[in-house]
Amino acid sequence: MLRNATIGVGLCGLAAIIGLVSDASLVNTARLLLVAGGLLTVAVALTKRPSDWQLWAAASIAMWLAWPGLPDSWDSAQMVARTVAMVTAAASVLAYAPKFRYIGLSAFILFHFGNMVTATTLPDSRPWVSQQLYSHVYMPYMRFMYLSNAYHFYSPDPGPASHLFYLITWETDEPDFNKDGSPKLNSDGTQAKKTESSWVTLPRRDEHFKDPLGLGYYRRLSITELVAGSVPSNLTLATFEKNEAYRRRQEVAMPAHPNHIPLIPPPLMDPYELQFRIPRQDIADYMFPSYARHIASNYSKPGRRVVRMKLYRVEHRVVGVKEFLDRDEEGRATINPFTPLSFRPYYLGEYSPEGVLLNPKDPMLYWLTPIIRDSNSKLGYTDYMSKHAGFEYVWKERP
Amino acid sequence: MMTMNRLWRQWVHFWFAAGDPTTMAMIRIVAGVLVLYVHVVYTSDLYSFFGQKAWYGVETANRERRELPTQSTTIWDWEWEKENQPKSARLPNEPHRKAAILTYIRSLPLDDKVALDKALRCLDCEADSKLYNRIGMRGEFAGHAHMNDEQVAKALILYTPNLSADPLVRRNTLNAMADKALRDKNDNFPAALGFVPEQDWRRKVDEMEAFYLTLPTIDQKETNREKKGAQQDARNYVIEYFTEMTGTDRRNFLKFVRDLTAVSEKERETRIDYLAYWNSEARYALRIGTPSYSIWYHITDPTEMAIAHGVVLLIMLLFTIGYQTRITSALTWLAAMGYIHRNPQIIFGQDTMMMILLLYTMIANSGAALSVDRWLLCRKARKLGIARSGKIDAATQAYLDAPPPSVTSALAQRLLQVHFCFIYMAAGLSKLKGTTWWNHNAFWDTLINPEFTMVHFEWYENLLRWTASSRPVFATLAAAGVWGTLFIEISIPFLVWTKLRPWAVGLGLLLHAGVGVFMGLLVFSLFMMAMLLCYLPGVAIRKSLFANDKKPPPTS
Repeated sequence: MLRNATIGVGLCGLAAIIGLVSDASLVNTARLLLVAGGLLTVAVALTKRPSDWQLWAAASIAMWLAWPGLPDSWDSAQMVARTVAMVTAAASVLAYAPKFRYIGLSAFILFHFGNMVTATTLPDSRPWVSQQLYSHVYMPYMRFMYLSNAYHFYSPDPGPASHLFYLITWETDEPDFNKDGSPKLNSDGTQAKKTESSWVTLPRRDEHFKDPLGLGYYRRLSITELVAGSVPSNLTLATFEKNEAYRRRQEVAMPAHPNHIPLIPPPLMDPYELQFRIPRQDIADYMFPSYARHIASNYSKPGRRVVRMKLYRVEHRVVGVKEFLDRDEEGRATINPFTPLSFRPYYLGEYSPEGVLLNPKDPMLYWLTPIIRDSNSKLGYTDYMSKHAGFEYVWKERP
Repeated sequence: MMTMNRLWRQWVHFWFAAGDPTTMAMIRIVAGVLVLYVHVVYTSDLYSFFGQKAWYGVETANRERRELPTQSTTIWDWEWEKENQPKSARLPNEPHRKAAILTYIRSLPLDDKVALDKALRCLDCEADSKLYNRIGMRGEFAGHAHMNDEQVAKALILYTPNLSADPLVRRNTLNAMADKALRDKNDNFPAALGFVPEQDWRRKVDEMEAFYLTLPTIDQKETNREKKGAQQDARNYVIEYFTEMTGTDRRNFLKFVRDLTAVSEKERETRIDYLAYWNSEARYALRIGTPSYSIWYHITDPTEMAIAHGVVLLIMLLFTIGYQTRITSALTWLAAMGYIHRNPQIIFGQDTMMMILLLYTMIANSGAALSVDRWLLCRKARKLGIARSGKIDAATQAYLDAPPPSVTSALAQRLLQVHFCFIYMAAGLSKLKGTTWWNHNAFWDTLINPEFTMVHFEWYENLLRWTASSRPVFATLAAAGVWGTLFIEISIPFLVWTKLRPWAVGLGLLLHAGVGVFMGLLVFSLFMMAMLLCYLPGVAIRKSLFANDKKPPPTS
């Protein structure tokens, strides 16, 4: 077994030596294969005699050699190699000194469950001890092992789910014309191309619930849940920008404004500060741009390129029991859980295919574009999200 | 000493007594099937979730794992202010304001330390260093008791846009500010200057001018309103940035830009870029980057991804059937972790449970029973036994009847049992913080959540209407649902260690069946049910599967 393990160590060492000589793509592939083969050889030997300290030591050496043996572009695998090298070195010591085996393993058990105590006590209250343990001790272990969940399921209270609505605009290769038949021109004088728009929403039960247990659907629901993290404006600091945002919104709320969207007062709608929800900074800075790039790449094809997209986070409020039981004079239910009135769309901005927020000073940015009851409309409601987007969204009675 | 020894023996017995590996083997099979399912389902979304331009793109993910700063509060300070005072410079969050400040930083004389110091001296003030009392001041400051150095500085900064772009006019204005004799009573001077001792006026106005000269310029000849507006905005953003920042933020900003003068141009750009992206300075982070691993950081070509994914599925299949389980369990854990680390955006509770199960099946010798490995070993033992004595002897028969006890399997089983208690306790106790769990509205909120439950089916909606139409019936059901959930989640961590274990496990299964059916979290519930298997003795599993209740042989 030790001979096999030595061969494995040798293969990893060879990969490391080759790495010193050349960094060409083909050579790197060979190094990857050498490391994989070397580690597998050591692992097979180890499984035959797992209590042999020499084999654990060989595994550790192989892992240390795998670190430089792996191409630098595989830096995350190098990190794993370093980590496993340390674990196997510790295992080698424990295998060599059985007297200390229980002590070593007991220390690991205490460390492991210490991590759990830290993870479960971190959210919300963040006690000093948990905070310090997290930052100074457990953070790498927690992240690497994915043991960071606090297990606070559906707590403190179950909340509403969110959707992401994208109004995508494509540019085709066909020239665009004005109503009088003359060619439409861009601001730089070039011939404008025809554009098309369409809504893409996430998640969609009819489209994404493909496998029997609906994992594809729930995965997308996770994306929308994650971006729901936002801060009501009354909880953010008073800044010049916030004042500006309120001023800009007030202007749009003026009836004379060409893109008028009313600011609905409570109790018909949430208090104003809840109608302006600023997304968490990491979501706004990294996720929305990344999602925009994904949408642009996924929905573009030759001759039909995504040129911009408007994004809304649409919170789906849970209908209350009393509201749910309401019936009209003929005894029919007046509301179903999918009524457009139960949706709260928040505008998150217009993005370029490169993920750049096109107008950070948009008057409606992060504001609710409400859907309100309207007895004058034949639908029974007015959808200001569609009005703001400039493109009608057709609400279904149920998915 | 005796007590310590006894405690140690009990501890060792609790964690390290060899046990029947069948339980962990059964968990391996159930978890393996679920893990396989989870990853087979990824196939159609492989590129959307893990590709170059996935929802969370490789570029963004790579920056996160390599650069994400982890901050920490100080360990020794008690004072709230000290604990929460950041050391790093900070930019405005809004992209347009951030861009203006970055342009401003780059426009500063970063190659000339003296010039930079001069330009920014008016920002260099301490909130508590000087206090200018109004005693002896003119009557126009009657509304103010005093102003400190920082407030004066902010007031002067706010005044700077009023200065003229024309050097002569500006100088005249500043001279008039600095010299009472030159001042006209109708001139509009910053009132704050009146708080400063007269001998400092000259210095203050000089600092104002130096700062003014660093501000984004406004081209007076510009006729395009939009362009002129943008120039005006850029200047306002800089001034507003300095006036709304705290004293700590201002000091941090000054330190950041002053330190830029001491580094190379490349390092300077690196620091500015890092600050622009993370809104934090790398040098003050406790840790940079995250320990994330994934093959999907490195394989982004769709064809190569498909091949790699196929290999992963094969490894998971081998793990499920228990072939080379020691190796395939580790590879399965590593591979599954790769999907999670690559795209944490798409994971939820079920992935947490999946990784917990994979961790413990990896620690356990989970291929020691109910596996191809075991079948191969039994075949070999049978052959060897017959070759040795022409028949299967008693020792070989005992080996064939039941897998030998294993310390690692028993340890992993214990770890899983205790871990499960942590999960339930945290889930139960955390709910006690929520109002809806006290007023029972949580029952309704979970039953009708349109995205998770079956409410999209009309029959389910009608069933809910019918149930809720009678308030006493509905309220009783809500109470039973909420109290039942809380009781199960909080009591199971205690009950599973008593004779009531079978009932506790039964209740746990019931809870998860309910969660799966009524809340739509099927895969999550199945993983939780797989975890509950850890409380079953191996012999009970063998008996129910093979009607084999033989105990394992005494040796491992």
